[in-house]
Amino acid sequence: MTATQNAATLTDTTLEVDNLVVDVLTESGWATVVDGVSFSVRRGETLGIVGESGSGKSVTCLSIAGLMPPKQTRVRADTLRLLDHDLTRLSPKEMSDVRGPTISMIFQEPMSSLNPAFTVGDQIAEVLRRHEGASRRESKRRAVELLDRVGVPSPARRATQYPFEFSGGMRQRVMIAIALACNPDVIVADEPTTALDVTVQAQILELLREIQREHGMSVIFITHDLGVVADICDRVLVMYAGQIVESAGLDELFEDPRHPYMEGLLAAMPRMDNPSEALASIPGHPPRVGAMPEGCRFHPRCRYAAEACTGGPTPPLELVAAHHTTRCLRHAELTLKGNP
Amino acid sequence: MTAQSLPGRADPLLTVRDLEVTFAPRKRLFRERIELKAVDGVSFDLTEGETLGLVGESGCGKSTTARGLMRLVEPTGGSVRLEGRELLGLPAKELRSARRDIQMVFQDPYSSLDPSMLVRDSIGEPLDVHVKLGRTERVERVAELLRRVGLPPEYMTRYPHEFSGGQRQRLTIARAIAADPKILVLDEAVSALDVSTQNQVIGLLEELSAEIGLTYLFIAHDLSVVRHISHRVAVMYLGQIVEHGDAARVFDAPAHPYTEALLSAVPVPSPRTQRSRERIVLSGDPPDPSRVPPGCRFHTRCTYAMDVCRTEVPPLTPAQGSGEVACHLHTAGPRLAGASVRTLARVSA
Repeated sequence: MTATQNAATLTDTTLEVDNLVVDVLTESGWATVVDGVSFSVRRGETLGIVGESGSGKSVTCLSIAGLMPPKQTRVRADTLRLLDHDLTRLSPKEMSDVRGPTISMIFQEPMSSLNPAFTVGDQIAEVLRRHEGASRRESKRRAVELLDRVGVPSPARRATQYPFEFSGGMRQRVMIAIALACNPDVIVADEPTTALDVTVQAQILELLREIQREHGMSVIFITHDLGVVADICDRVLVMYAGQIVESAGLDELFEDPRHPYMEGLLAAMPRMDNPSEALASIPGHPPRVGAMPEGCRFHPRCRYAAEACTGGPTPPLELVAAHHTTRCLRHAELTLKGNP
Repeated sequence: MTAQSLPGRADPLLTVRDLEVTFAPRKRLFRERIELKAVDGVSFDLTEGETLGLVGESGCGKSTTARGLMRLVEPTGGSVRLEGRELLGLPAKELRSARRDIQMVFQDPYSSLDPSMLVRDSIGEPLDVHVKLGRTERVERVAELLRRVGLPPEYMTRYPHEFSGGQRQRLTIARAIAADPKILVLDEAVSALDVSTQNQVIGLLEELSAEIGLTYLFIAHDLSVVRHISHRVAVMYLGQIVEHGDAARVFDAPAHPYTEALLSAVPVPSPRTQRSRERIVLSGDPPDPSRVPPGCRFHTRCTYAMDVCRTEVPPLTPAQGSGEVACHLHTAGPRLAGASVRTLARVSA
């Protein structure tokens, strides 16, 4: 996919990625785990990235943010632009300066992302001191403000407490406060609600929506839960075996999926509002890193696979409608079932 | 709430009455000893061949209920009867033989298989304890079990690390059914799996229940999965069952405000439906189980809370259609008399 095919031509783009390739060092040598990923994110937009575990969705975002371990990772891209910064040219030190004010991450497990030995207030204040040179006093005051902003009750008292004194939902609010501290242009949320109860998940999603309305930042939301995607995303990338296999606006993707993998994912979601339908599943497993099938990477699990799908190079991402691409050779012949 | 009962149809296989599990920290000088009642008077029946779903937020006591009835934690009160035989207070030796009939599958298939044991020995272990077979018979039985869970028998000479998450969960299921139990307690057994793998494992569980008449206590936080697999559902909040009934009734016409809120929080994988749904966002986290609110335990987060809810414990009353509900909306104030709380929401909105 070239940048022009994407919706990237719009002026208000905060992040632009073209042909991102990430190799990681495994026991059996270098293996490509992200293979030619291109996309862009607009200001104020929530872009969802979905796929099964191991599809490369997290590695894509960690690589963009420069958070993959450098010795075991090789990151290449034709374009990796975050606002005015060309990320391909930044040293790790420069990247670390850029990160706070422009891009920040929220991870799945807030307990392991927070330092158990420091108070929550200190950890938020540290970000402000590091990136904005705020004074000790000023940063403490703003940490309390941020806790208040993300809905932590009695923020002044809570700022002096340690992570273990917080519930899972409250810890995730603290992580959001840290991510918000420098008012970044892009927030990457990597399965931020997966470890939470549905009731708390609903609170956190609401909070993210509110913050985005106020600050207008771009959000990249990584998840495997299509229900969460339907709730919060504007546009979605579907990843499989290190590649984007489909991308479209939210409604179009769910109503009119054009890749058999997306159709399979939709059919596999158990629906509370329609329990009688048998649960479909996609047979087999995603391919292992370093053992990618010839032709379409999904063909061994695809019920529509034809002779042409089983060999040759990986099919290209093709534009099938405005802002809707799919990596399927048979997309024109197939009528796939969506979830309106 | 003392007597909560889920009346089953025929003679129940398992009868749990007023189960209580209390965790008490060790006595320390000058420190208040706070007891935590993780399970506080839970009662239900399991009838042969049925699946009972147990749902609720983390910390509500659903896993502790399961561990309590297996006596993996020692209950502090109540009764657990398996085909009429009381399990609580049974001496260790007799308990071991009773456990043959009731087996458990846990969430994390990575930590529930011994990494240094061959699959053959992991699956064969319950056979050694309960059945005692000769060497060739044992191998045959393990091969049959592997086939039954959809894995080739050759896998018996491999180690757990050679398997994917879904395959490992199949292995733990094979081990759980090795000694022909009557009941499987599944504690978040499919929660760690990708949706596609999860469905394969659910398919396997449904097959097993149809083929060998297994009965399940299915504990999960994913309500869509619970709805799919369960015949009946019980909803727990802070150590107690607040509502139970046939799955279709509980999901389509929830009678307890907590059930209603829980259901409304599950995002539906359809953008259009999701936008048009009414959502009830519960404020705050569940209260600390060592400081249970007086009256109805849910009143601190309930949108319908009335004065009576802050002081009086609501009794269990019949819900329309099936099951029971413990909520003052059905006995006082705007009376629902067992109808869905959703009817109330529409009137007041």
